[in-house]
Amino acid sequence: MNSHDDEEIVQGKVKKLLNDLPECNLSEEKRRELIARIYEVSDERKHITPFTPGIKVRVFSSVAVLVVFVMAFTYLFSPLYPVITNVKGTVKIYRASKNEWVFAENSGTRLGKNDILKTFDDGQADLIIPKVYHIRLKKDSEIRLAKSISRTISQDSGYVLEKGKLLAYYNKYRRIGKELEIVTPQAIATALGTDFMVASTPVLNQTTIGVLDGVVKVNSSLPSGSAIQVPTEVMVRAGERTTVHKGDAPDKPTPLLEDELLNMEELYNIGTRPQVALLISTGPTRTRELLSGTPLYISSEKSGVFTEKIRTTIKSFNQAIREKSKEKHLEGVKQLEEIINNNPNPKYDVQLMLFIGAYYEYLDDHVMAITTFERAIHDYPQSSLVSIAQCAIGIIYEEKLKDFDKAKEAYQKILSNYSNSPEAEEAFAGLSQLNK
Amino acid sequence: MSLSDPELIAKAKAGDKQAFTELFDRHRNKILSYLYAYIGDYQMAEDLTVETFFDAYKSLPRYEERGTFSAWLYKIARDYAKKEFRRRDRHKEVSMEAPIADDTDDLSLGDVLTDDKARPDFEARKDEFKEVIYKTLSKLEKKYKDVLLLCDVDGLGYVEAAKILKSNPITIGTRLRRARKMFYNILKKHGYEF
Repeated sequence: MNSHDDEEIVQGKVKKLLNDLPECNLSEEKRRELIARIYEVSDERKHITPFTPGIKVRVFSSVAVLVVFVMAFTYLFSPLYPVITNVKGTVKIYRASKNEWVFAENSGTRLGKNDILKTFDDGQADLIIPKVYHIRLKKDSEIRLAKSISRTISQDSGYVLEKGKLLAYYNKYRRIGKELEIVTPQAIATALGTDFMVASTPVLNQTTIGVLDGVVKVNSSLPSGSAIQVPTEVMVRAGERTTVHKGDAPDKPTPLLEDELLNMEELYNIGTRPQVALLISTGPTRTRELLSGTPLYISSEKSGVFTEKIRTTIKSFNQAIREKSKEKHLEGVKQLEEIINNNPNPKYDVQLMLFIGAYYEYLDDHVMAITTFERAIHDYPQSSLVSIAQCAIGIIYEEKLKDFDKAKEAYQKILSNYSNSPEAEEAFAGLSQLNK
Repeated sequence: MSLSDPELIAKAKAGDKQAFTELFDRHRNKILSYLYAYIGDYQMAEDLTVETFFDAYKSLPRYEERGTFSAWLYKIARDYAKKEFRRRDRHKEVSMEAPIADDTDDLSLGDVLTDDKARPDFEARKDEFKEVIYKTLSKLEKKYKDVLLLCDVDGLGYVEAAKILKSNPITIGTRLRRARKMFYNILKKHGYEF
C-alpha cells in the first residue's frame, strides 16, 4: 500500500468517526430555561401592542402606575442590609428588635440595624452586600451594624467592632455608599474603596489597622473635650499599618509586618469572584463522570492568591505523577483542602469538595472520599450539587467497600432528600439491584 | 406528519411559540455538540446553546431563507463560540487542564485523571472515547476545527460550509483534508487507534 492509499484511509476513518460521533444531549433544565425566556419575551412584545384604552382601563392603569411608582420608590430608598454567609463554627446573632441571641446559619439571613454578629473561638462569618462590600469577621469577634445604606442614596455605612478582627473589601467602583466606617473603642477607620484589616484588642486597649490596597483614614476615638493636642488623624496607605491606643493619637504608619501580610492574604479573595466549574454533564451519569475523573476549570478576572495557590497545587500534582507517588498526590489534595479551609466561599466550595472527594476515590482512599462528600452535604445542604455527593457515597459503599446496608441507606437518602435530582435514577437502579 | 423546517419557521414567524420549540428540539443537540466540540467546556456549551436559540428566536423576523435553518443556527453559534474565546483571552484563566507554562513537563491535572499509568494504584477506567474526541476537536486550530465540525460532524457540504465560513468550496475541501490528518495524528499520538 502506498502513502496515497494510507492518506485516503486516514481521511475515510476520520470522516466516519466524526460522522458517527454521538450527539450530546441538552439537559431538560436548559430546555426549560430557553422556553421560559421565549415566553417571557413574547409577553413583553404583547405588552407593547398599541391599543386605545377605555375610561375604566385608563383609571385602572393610572392606579396601577401609581402603585408601581410607590413600590419602586419604597424599594429604591429601602435600606440595604448585609447578608450573613460562610458561617463556620459557632456564630451568634443578636436581634436588636427582638432582644434575643440566635445561632447564625448559612441560610442567607441578613444583619439588621443595631444587630450584633458574634463569632466564638471556633467561628467565622462573612457579611456581604453584593458589589458594595464584603467583610470577614474572624474568630472571637463582635460587630454591630450601626449605619445601613440605601439602594440609591449615597451615604456612609458603618460598623462598631467591639472586639476581635475583621478583613474588609470595599468596592471602589461601587455605585452606592460613600464610605465604610469601622469604629472600635480606640479608633475610627474610614475606607473609601480598599482592602483592609481592623483588629481591636480590648486587653491591650488598642486597635491595629492594616491596608493592602487603597487608603484608610484613621482617627482616634477621643472622648469629647479631650486635652490631647497632637494630630488625631493619619492616612494609612497600601502596605502600611498603624496602631491606636485608647486616648492617644494614631501611631505614624509603618510597613506591614510579614506575618501581618500573610494573615491578610485572604483579602485578595474577598470580593474577587473566581469561577469554578466541574466539567460534568447535568444528566443522571454525572456522578459516575465525577468519579471517573473530571477536569475542573478555575478562572478569575483578577490574578491573586487563589489562582496562585491553584497553580502551586497543579505543580504538586505534576510532581506526584512524575514520581508516581501516592504521598505526593495526597499532598496536592491537602493543598486543595487548604484552599477551601482558608478561603471559604459558597460560590465554589461545593465544586472543590466534589473534586477533592473524587480525587481521594481516584487514590483508592474510599474513607476519605466518603468523609469529603459527607462534609459537602453537611456544609452546603442547600446546594443543588450535594445530591452528587450523596450518590457518590452510595456508589463507593456499593461497589468499592461492599457495604450494601450503607449503600442502601445512601441511595435511600437520595430518594428522600433529592427526589427530583438526576441522581434519583442512579439511586433507584442501585436500590433495585441491592434488593434483588 | 411532522412539519418541515421552513413550515415551522413560517409558523414561528407568525408568533407560534410551539413551532419554535419544535425547531429548537429538532436542532438543539446538534448545536450543543457543535459548541461543545468548539469550546471544550460542556457547561458553557449548554449555556451558549440556549443563547444561540434565544438569539435566533429574537432575530426570526429578520430571517431570510437563503440557506438551511441549521446553517443559520451554526452561524449564530459560531459567533457565540468566538465571543467566548475572546472572553477567555481577556480573562486570566487557570485550568486544571492547562499545562503549566514554566514546568518542563507538560502534564496537567486533566492528564492525571485520564492517565492510568500516572495512578499509584491502578484500576482500569471506562472508555471515554467520545469525550476524548470532543476535547481533541476543541483543541484544534480554529480554521481546522471549523471545517471538521461543519463538514464531518454535521454533514454539511463544501458549498454550505463555505457560505458559513465566508470562504470558497475549494479552500474548504483542502482544509478539511489537512484537518482530518491533523486530528488523526493527535489521537494517534495519544495512543488512540480507530
